[in-house]
Amino acid sequence: MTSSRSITRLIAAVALAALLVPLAAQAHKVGIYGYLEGGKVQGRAYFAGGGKAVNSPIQVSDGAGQVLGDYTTDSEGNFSFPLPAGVTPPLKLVLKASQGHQASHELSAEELGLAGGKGPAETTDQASATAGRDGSKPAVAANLSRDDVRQVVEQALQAQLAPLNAQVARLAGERAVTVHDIAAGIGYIIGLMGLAAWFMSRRKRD
Amino acid sequence: MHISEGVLPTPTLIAGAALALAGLSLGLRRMEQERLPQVALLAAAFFVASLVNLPAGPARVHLVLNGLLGLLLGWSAFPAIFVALALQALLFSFGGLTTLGLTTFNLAFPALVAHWVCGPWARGGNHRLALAAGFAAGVLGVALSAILVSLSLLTAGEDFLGAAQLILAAHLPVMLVEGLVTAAAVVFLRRVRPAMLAWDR
Repeated sequence: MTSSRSITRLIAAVALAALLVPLAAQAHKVGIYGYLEGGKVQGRAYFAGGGKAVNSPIQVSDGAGQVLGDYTTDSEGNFSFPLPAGVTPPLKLVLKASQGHQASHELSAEELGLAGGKGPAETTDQASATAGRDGSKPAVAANLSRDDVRQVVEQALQAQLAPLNAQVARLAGERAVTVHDIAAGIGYIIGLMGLAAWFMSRRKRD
Repeated sequence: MHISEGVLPTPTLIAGAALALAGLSLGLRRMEQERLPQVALLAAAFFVASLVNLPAGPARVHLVLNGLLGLLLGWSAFPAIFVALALQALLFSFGGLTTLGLTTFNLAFPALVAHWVCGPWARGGNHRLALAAGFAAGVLGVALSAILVSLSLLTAGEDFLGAAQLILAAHLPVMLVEGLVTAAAVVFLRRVRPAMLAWDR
């Protein structure tokens, strides 16, 4: 077998393997996402590729750099804690998994419901207070103000949107490796090899 | 094996970058033009290998292939691994750019050790010893990298023994697979292209 033919076969084998690998490939890293629901920050920590980050420490700090608390994910990788009052946005969640893996997620002012001025805890209290005061249904309808209706609707929306928020946060963080990435990488390697060969031949000539 | 950004203190990252730079300059100087296709091919294989995931408890671990690279390339494993890691960071966001130097050293130095320790037998006359040397190179590359990564995490305040045990245990399947892959590569090259193994720099 001539040397150039066997090299060609090796390259072909690597290229073929490289094209098949994306079928099972995921960028290997940890991720964390969180969202606000009913006054609590809920979320999940995971390994891209399907694993759950169980019993992993999460540190919560706010925009002022103050550490607000340390929590741990449960056996499913989920976490949940009440949103502390008087938080300076953005709320930062930092996950420290094993083997040196780390990831973070930020909840902006809008996500925390702070942009509008009214915190989520107030909404819950207002709605339940209204329900307790009036006994029968028609009486409730008559005594509900525009504000009460708005708050009840907001709560319902928040509950409905929570799983959607979770999905969006997760998709934004995760990124599957595609054939394009692999082709790009191998292309760069071949290109660098060509550049190096050119420089080396110039050096030899001089 | 890839440490995330923001985990390690800056002095560690600077030391790692300095060590990688030293290895890179030595590796580039000893690279010969005829060997370039081989270096590029192995860099590409290393680049792709990290996409092959194996489950290991809650986490997933990936193939490293630094043992094979070290055995075949010697000092040139430094530029090969550096280029592959840089492309992984830029294209997959896999690993960070600040940790690039340290990760290069953590993976390329064990490759070099595998070259020194296992190389002579992989090139030697005894076929059985060559197969064993190939297997040993694959295992040694991953095992030494695990120890260097644990040492790096020690500077961030993590318990060295605990981290080392965890990483080594998690990478046992990887060590086995890589030992087999490297052994197979050695056997194949001895029969088809012994010149590729004869690199002794």
